Amino acid sequence: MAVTPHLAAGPSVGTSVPRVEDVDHVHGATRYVADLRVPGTLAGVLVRSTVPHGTIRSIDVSAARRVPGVRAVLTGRDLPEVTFGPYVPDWEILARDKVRFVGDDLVAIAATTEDAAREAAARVRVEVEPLPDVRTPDHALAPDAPVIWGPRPDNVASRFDIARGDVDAAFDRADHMVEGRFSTNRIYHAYLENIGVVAQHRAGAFTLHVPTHIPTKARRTYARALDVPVHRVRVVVPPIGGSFGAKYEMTLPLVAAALARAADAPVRMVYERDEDAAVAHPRPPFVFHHRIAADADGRFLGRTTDIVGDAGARTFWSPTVLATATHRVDSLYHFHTMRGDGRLVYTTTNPTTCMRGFGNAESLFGVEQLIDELAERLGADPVEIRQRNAVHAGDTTLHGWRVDSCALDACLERARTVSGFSARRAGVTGERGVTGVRRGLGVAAGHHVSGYRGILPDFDGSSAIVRIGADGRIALLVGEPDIGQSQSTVLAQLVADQLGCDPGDVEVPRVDSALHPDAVGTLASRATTLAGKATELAAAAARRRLDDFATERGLPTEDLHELAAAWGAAHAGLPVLGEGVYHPPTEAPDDTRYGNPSVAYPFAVHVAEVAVDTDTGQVTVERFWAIHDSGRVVNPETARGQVVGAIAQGVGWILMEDVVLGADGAPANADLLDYRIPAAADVPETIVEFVEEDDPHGPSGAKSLAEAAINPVVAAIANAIHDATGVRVRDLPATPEELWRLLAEVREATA
Amino acid sequence: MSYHRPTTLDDAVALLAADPARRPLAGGTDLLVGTWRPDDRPAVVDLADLAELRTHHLDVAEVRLGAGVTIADLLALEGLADAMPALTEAARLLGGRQIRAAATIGGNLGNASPAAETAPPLLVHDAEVDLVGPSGSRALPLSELFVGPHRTRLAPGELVVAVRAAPGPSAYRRVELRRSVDIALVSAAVRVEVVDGRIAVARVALGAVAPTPVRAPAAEDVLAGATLDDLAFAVEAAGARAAAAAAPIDDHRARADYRRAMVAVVVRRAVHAAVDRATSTTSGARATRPLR
Repeated sequence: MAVTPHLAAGPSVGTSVPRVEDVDHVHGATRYVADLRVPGTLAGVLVRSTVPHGTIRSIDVSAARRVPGVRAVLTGRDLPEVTFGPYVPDWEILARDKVRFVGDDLVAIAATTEDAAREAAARVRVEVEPLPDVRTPDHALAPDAPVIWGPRPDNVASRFDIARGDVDAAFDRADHMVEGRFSTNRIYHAYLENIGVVAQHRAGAFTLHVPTHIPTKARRTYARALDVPVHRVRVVVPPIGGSFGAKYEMTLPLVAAALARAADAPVRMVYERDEDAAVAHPRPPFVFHHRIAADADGRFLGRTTDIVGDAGARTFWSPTVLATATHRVDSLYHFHTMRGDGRLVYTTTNPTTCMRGFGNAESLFGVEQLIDELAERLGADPVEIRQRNAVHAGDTTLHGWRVDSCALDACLERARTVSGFSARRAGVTGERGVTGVRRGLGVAAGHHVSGYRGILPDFDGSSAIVRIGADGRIALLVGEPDIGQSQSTVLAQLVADQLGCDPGDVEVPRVDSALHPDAVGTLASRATTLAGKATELAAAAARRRLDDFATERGLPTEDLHELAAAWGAAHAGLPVLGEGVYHPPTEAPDDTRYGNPSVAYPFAVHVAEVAVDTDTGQVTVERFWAIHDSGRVVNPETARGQVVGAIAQGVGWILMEDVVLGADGAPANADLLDYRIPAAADVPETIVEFVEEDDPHGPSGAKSLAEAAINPVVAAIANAIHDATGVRVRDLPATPEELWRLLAEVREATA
Repeated sequence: MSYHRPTTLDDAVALLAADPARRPLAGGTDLLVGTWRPDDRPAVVDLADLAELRTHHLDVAEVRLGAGVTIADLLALEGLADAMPALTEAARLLGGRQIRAAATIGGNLGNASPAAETAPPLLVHDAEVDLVGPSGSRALPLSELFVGPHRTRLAPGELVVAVRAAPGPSAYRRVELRRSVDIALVSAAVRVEVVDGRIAVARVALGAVAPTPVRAPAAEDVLAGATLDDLAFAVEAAGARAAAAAAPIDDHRARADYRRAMVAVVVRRAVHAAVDRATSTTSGARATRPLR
């Protein structure tokens, strides 16, 4: 593939420069929102619903108000009568008329100490007339199901239906058809840093210190909810200790803001772990029914999918997750015709939201297993059958997505070679069976986007400012917050290569809406590609300004500091400002959902080798090969870190992680003892390789990695478990007990 | 919250006896979990300054571990892996590195969790606990210490000061939901003495399948007397009897039938491992090798 020209390939891109974030991290100097101390700050506490569904009859806060130290007590009745939400306006800051799940926010209290606030919370008397609860989407869709939110009497929060071509005819003429039901589960994001906020209010204006990674959209949502113009909400983003999709727009900042306004004092609210695990919104569970039609050679002719997802009691980001789950896979393989029907259903459980993989990982869990079933039926090699159907660079896929760079086929070939796929599967991993310890090898592919048009209605893309002070300090102002994924380092490298300096000399200050450009945010795996492109343009503009100035004044260009000082002196102290504006060549999908929503598509092929202890059902992922196409890799070591982290996350997802709901629909395992995430011993030896081909659009040829890295993991492990035992994992998670039951069924059937 | 840090055992006992709300604090890995809540801060008597609790002694007849010996200390004790292999295996699985550095053997027993990692190994090594309380010292078989989940026969003010156990070939096996930093879903320890190709003495103990760690005498009976060249039946039967004797519960971690089935698996595996140990070392040399 041709190497596409970019502005200037400097020396740092492609090298593993040390992370610029790490100096503060290793010195314990990073100050998260929980570390923020504003004098006079009050502690905020919430009273939440203890019943899953009911009509609020009365809330008596008189005793709570009398507790010494209490400065504000708010109920839904005290707040602007505004409903809001990213997709469906079914949010309130505090519930007004109904509670819809255990944990629904009812009363907010601010007091001088946390003890006083908790004491006051204990004295709130809430009278709720219970309504029948709705635990499952099946129940919600039943004809006589209780209505959870009045404007949606059918309990369907959103639908996503899409069709291309004559899929029924494709199935009619198919030689082979594979189908299956697969279910994915509620997953807690389990970031290191719990959700928190410090809210300040003065003279009708708010300052919210909140670790959101979509600050512009969050500001707009918050302004609407607080019933103030958007310029009266300043969002300051502290360092974010991980998110994986949980920290988009949250309701906690609104509670704190409302309390700060009522008490006329700053309010701090930071969850402890048990509270965070109980009330943070998990990955939405989905039930899929997938079908794939193929010809005699294993070429796909069509596919259908029916999806029912669980929105919980209010709609956060689950509608777009549903949309992704319904149709994104059509840009991984050519299915030629398709029909997808997705429904997202209300239940009286904690609302769900997006998580790394964003519906695509969920969809691939089933699709990639069905492809293996098809390969087995045809007696074909699983890698080969994927190659026969893979998309290639230059393709426009079923929904009009333009794949301008794609090394999927090369990744498949490389994965086969590096893992020794055929030989290991035939020999090293041994016979398939349901007794003793069995080993197996599984492959899965995945892909994702590098940004997705339509998150903000008014623009896609990104903008950046590079500021070089007369003192030589270099700062990059970009509106996409770092979420711990080494973004600051990657952006600093892009700046450094344009300016001709060391990445360690580039500061990337935390996003403050008072200073930074507005931005779509750090989501949809878009920061490196889109913020990176804007950054590169901004740095190039700054360099050009300096070079032009040097030419004009006859100054040497080698010493950036001297040149910046000369510029400052010549401009009465003005720093050098380089602006970068990047509009990606993306399109808003039309009425049939046709159009190219992303500038670049990353691809990945993963191979997992597992050992299954069939006596206990315990699975050990022993080896893992991850072959990625992320275009040009800016920093190989941090990229490898993203992949290894994704594999750990995927191992947790398939083998142990699950938010278990109790009888009242509330999480029964809201702590890190019983919500298990993998420890080091659970994570396999991993070989990570990048097939590097420059993307024509991304900065220095780079495209995204974050979500592509998790998307194949669960399916690859599931395929390996099948190769080892002949048992298909159709429901997540495959805990030792669940797998033991599946194995026991086979043993009994064959006995 | 009140905090005391006595420098003598007598003072510690007196402080604990004076107020039944006071809890002894050793490694704190159980006690301090959750104490960040203002309404859940225990009154503690910190045992950190009681050096006599951190002594140990190993010889051919007995292993004595002071209650304040940490799990990490225990793993570093030369000779212990040969003297009580099951205990070493269990200790390696207890918590993570930081937990092992703080948690003590006395605390693990005194906390009386049904899943206490060190309890089944010590039970099969016929352990006794030395207790000191307001009315003096006494010894109690470990099997009598546990009454129920987090309940013991310790009198008010009474402390576990040491545990004593008999060396011998043993093994510990468990099923867990995560490979490290997790508590046992089901665990089993087995000790055997092999004489002339026969199992002369067998001990089987189970963790996490009853209100307390328990011995499984029915499993021991079927193993005792079994010949090594025809072990399969006895091992199978031991697993089945242990499973039948277990009283596991259904909860969000696992259902009872899975736990019960896993009892049989871990017992079988522990028996095989213990028998391998009993027969693979030169038993004469093992018995006479001086232990420090």
